[in-house]
Amino acid sequence: MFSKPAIGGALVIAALFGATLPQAVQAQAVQAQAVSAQAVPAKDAAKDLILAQGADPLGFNPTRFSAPNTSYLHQLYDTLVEIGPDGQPQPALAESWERSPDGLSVTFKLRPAKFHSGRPLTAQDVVYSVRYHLDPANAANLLARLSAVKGVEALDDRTVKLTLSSLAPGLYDLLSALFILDEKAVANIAQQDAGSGPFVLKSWTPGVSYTMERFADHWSNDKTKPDRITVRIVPDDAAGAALLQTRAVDVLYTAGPLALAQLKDAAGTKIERIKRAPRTHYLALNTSRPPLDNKLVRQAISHALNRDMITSVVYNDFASPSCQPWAESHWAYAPAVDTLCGYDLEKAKRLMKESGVGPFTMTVNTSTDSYAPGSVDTAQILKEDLAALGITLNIATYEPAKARELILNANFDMLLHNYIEGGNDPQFIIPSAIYGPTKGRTKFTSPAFEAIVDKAGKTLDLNERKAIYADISKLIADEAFMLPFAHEFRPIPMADGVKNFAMDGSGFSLLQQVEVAR
Amino acid sequence: MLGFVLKRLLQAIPVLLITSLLIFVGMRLSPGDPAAMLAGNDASAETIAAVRSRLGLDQSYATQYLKWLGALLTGDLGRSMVSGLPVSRIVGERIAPTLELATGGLVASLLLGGVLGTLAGLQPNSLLDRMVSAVAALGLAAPMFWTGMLLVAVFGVALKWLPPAGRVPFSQGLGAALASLAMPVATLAIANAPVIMRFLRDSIQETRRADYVRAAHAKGLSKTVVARDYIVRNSLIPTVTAAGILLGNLIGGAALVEIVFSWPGMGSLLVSAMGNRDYSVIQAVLLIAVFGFVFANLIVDLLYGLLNPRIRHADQH
Repeated sequence: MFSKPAIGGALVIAALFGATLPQAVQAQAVQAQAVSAQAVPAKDAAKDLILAQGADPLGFNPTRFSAPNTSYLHQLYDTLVEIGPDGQPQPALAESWERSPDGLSVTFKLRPAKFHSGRPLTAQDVVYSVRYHLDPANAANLLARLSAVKGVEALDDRTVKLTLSSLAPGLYDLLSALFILDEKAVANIAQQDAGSGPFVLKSWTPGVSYTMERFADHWSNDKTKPDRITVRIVPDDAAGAALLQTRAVDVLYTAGPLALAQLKDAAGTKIERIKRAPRTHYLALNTSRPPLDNKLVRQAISHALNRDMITSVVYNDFASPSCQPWAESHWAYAPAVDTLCGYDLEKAKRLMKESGVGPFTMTVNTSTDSYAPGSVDTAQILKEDLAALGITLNIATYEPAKARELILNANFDMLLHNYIEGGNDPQFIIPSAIYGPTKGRTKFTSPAFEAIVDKAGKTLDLNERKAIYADISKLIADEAFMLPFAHEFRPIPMADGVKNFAMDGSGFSLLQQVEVAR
Repeated sequence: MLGFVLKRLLQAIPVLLITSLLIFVGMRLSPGDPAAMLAGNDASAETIAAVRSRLGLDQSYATQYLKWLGALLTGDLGRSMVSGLPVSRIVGERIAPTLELATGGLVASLLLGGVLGTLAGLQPNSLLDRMVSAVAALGLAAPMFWTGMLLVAVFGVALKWLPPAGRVPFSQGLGAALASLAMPVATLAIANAPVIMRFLRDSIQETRRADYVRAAHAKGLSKTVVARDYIVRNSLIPTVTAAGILLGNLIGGAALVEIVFSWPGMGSLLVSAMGNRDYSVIQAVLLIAVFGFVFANLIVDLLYGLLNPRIRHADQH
């Protein structure tokens, strides 16, 4: 008597569930068809490479440089040029190029290439891609740095001409991050790549993994080592470490402090430090908020920032202390500048006294480790030292979304954050919102800074540029509105048998030549 | 009974409507701007405004809500603001793993908690009762992520008996699927079985003192019959309530367990969507979680009738 109505009730519930979520149910049916893609990938193929990263890619649009996207950018997409380890441009889709005598235009000759769709890649596609990046509606992350690009035109199927409004010394670094899109495939870019890179996207199961396979028609196919690259989504740091220890993955692409500690002496694994793409940690001082408008106060804070201790304690010696925007391995690095910002509390106290500013209270914005690694621990160290100067430091910690909002609106007294573009040409970061000089988030402006940054943009001579950037570094250290304090060499845990793992200057992975010995 | 079910489902409609409004408003009032996140760190105000417009976030809250609700009524959950994928696909792919984990976790919790709770309840103050209570306290006190990590370290890394993380669907082989399910389910069971156990133990001990139990013993019925038909069955109702709450929680997504074991379910989806401020995905997941609670409560009410004839008859009258 009871059971029949109960069954009926269950059926009604099931029907209602189905009516409420018909698309979800359909999606499950689709999932059933594609179930093989959802399995944890088998690791029997000799030339398989398996990475683990913490979060899903945000679709396959290569104009978005969010961290989870960096594992596929150079794999699925090509660029006109690549930047070699020496910082100089090398041919990629463009097999050659020529700069006009006035330096304001560059003509690129394309090599024969195909998109993954099979369609030949032509100069028109390059034109489309540049314009796609320039359209604000597409919110390309490179847009703010493309202001020097005045125009682009296809001279013929294999020749494309880029016109510039200024010399744009960092042009080739920009082009090495400007990925070429297949116009015909862009509509479906949320779930399928639209590129011509050495690998083609084969499957993606959000939350589980995505797989890329070697693209047989790629122009550099003979250089490609893996047949297949699988990126598994492993949100938990400790789980990622466990998967590497049991060799269920070959590389832990996003490793937090927990995984690094767990893997420090783990058998069969190693931790490589990628020096080409350092993460530069900095303390930004908002110069529009007194007394941070006082240069002597800022200098005092700089000398109270214990760079050596932070590097050692917070970043476990995976970083080098510094007070300039780029690391020691960069061509623009000026050794003399790093002597200007030593930890010296007595000097800091003297500077505070000279400034005439009495004790005051400030807040430093920090964020969780996923967005600003080590910022909270750094703030704790800083708080102790600033207390000796009579500065009471409150530490505010925000989750990434709120932290980003505050940074974009320059809504902070002090900010502990980082950038990862320091491996690129200095033009990538100095004119940007990070340092200013006119629209920087620290609100620091000075005619001298503007003039010297302007000068840096007007020459292509490397020696001349080195001298100018040394002066810029010196000015930044002296004015102390931005206090870079550590260049963290990204630690990538991997199995002992993995070779040739690399990254470009922006921290985008280069997996084409990775070899895996089982 | 069918009328009862329909009535409860109709009652669920205003609950879902109010909840949808709360979810919508809650998301819009929370800090963080999805447009700014999508536009990148160096985006100008113009770029952010263009993205906001493309996402429809420049419209009034009322317009956005009504559009979302209208689409929802036609079964359209919209598109992810971050990836552009249909939300139905993203959420649809996470439902099966979550139901798998929820069912496994519930069954294991009920079995473990049921057996231990019954034994402890029938032998109050015995050594077994004390041991079970101590183990239960330990299970309740241990954070789920810690239990999960401990299991991974022992059975995944040291002994290599089970895969440390990830999910294998049942279609890929029963053994592999059960192996991938074992540790997440065990973690859930260790945390939740003590709740069931405590409810059942206390309920049994209270029922043992009831007049009708004493009368059954006086009639000369065997201890087994009294325990089975008079004590345990009548002690199940509070346990069913606890199980219902547990099921609702599990359908909502056992986020911590899913993250620790890289289990691609609704909980881990919600966490990542929150991080990205992906409004459309968050709204869909939360709404489904609410529906899960409503559904679990309905099941609980139906089970009350099965277990207690008086409730069943009262409903029929």
